Amino acid sequence: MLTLQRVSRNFGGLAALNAVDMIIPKGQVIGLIGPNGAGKTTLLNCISGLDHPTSGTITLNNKPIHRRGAHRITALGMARTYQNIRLFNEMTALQNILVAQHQQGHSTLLHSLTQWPGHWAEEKWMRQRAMTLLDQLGLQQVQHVLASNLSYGDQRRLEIARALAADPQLILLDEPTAGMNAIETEQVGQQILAMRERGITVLVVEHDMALIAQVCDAVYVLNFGQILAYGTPPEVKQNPEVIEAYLGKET
Amino acid sequence: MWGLLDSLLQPILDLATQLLEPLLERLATVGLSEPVVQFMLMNAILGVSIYLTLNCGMFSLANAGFMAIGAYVGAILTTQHGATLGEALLYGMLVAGIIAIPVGLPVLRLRNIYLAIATIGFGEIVRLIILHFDTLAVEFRDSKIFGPIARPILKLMVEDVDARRLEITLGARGITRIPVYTETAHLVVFLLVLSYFLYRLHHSRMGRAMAAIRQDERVAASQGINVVYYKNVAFVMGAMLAGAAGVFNALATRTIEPKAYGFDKAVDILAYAVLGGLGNWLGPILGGLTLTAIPELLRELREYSGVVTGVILLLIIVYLPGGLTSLMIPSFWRNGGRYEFAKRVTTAGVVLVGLVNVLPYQIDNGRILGYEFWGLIIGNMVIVGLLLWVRYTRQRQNGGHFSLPLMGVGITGVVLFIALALVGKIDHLAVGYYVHLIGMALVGLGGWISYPAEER
Repeated sequence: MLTLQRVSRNFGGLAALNAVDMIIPKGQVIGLIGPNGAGKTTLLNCISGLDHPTSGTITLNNKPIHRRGAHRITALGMARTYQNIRLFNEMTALQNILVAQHQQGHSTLLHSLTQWPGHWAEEKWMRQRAMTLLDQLGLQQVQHVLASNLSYGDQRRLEIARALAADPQLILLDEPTAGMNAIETEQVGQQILAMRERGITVLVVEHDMALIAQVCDAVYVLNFGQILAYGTPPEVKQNPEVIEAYLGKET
Repeated sequence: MWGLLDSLLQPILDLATQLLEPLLERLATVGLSEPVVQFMLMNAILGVSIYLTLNCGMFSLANAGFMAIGAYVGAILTTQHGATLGEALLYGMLVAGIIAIPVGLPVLRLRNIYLAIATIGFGEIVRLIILHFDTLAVEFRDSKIFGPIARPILKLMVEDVDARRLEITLGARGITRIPVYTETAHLVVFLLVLSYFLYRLHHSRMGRAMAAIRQDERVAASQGINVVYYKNVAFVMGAMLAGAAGVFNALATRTIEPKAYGFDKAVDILAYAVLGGLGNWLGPILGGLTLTAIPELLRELREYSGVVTGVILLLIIVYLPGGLTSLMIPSFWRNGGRYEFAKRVTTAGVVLVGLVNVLPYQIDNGRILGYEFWGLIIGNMVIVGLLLWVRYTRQRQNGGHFSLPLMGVGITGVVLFIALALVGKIDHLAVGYYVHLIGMALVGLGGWISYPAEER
């Protein structure tokens, strides 16, 4: 599905990513963990086209995407959420979803101006689809509330709903449970598993090891911009290098 | 093609002229003569032109430049080729739009203040080129390389291309004796069509994409929105509108000169949009109308009018940071469902009340207004009161906080009017009286509908 080959990203003299190799097989849930500042978000930015790697290649379904703009990558079936929530705050929950369905729609301004019948059909279809999504994530009650006025948990859920609205094959979740309590975290885990049921590949950046163990098929560990370890969640947990990276060396 | 369009538009324009006549008469009595009204409408169009770019997250000040292009295209076409208003408008908009494409592609990569500086630069370039156009034209015509390209283009602008001196834009003197074709009805119809366009834009896929770009460009891109494309589309649309305003302007004033389209004008245009309000497409229209009208209304103050205008602008900025339209958009209007319906009902009511007050139309030789004095005062107080209420309940999520005063105002209005009629304070009961009653009733109904079900 997604392949990274020797991806590096330098900010001036600082190597945020250093020759990262990664393979994300179709239909799996892959975790990405690492201490703060390890380069996880930079990696996600490079994959989703918000940033571009200094060197190396990234391919999605065998198509190189590391030089493409973000909107063209989305068109290939990738969507993401953000660590610091980045919703469209002046829009309601429903409008946020409608915006995310941009690629699904085709109607132009001309259709809208002339009240073309197809335009209405499309608007209606988009709204229904958005409502279904909001329903799935338990947001139907707040569909008309401005995103900035939503509770923290709802904002996180809306980010996930917005990512799903683009109908992606691959979804990147950047710390989807940050700041959530145990019950909410559990719900997010359920939603990730539901995504896998529907055949969506997931790459999830997370600090909560319980969630990683619950949902991930495999985990990559990133430290100082390099892949430190790869394996199933229990394997990674036992790995002495990983323990050292998180807790420091025993003296 | 032109003939067909003409025969379609002419009845509409005639009707508009007829309908506008009494309104213009009334406005003239408060100091807004017809030319002033025309300027108000032109500035409303200009406000919209910059709103289109601001709405897409672009702080562009190029609109005065595009206005100049429109004005000069319009002036040259009408003086040299005897073009009609429709033709001048079409070509003015086209030329402004076409020039906007190569300007926009590189410049729109910049953001915020950098974009503002670059576009101010564009405006100055346009002004200077127009100022020195005649000399430049001779240079280009006589140059070996550019001559063959420049000649056919110049031929469009002047009869005798080979004359020793070319007189096209006439430098700082400007073009004079431009025929006056712009009528108030043209501007009103144009603005109405524009309003429809903006309304549809906001409810379309493209409009949503533009709003998303304004709020977070990078996230918008990763939602699959082609940021560069939509930014350029918005820029070109803004340029075309500014061009149209320029054509109207040139064909209304007889004389145009380059200095009228300099940096000052660019800042004025920005003020229309910002003080009118950027949250809603009505904002720039309202801003353009009001900001042009204020100095005229204050003309009696003579030398102090500038000071008072400044104070009013300051007050708007301090107390209505969302612009004039923040007076008009209560929170519950944004909450769909029942609130959506209540919103429509209330709007209809307010519009009816407003119409009866503002438009002293006549039907069947009898006045539609069955009252003059009382109706005006009470009706306008109701509208102002409503707007003030809206202002102070803007932040509330729940429509319930707003529905009680709405109901109160509506019911009080109905009762008061019936009472006034019974007492005999209203001269004779004409259509206007009933329209006013219905309007008030609708306002009250809107309040009732938006009242939360659990509290009913």
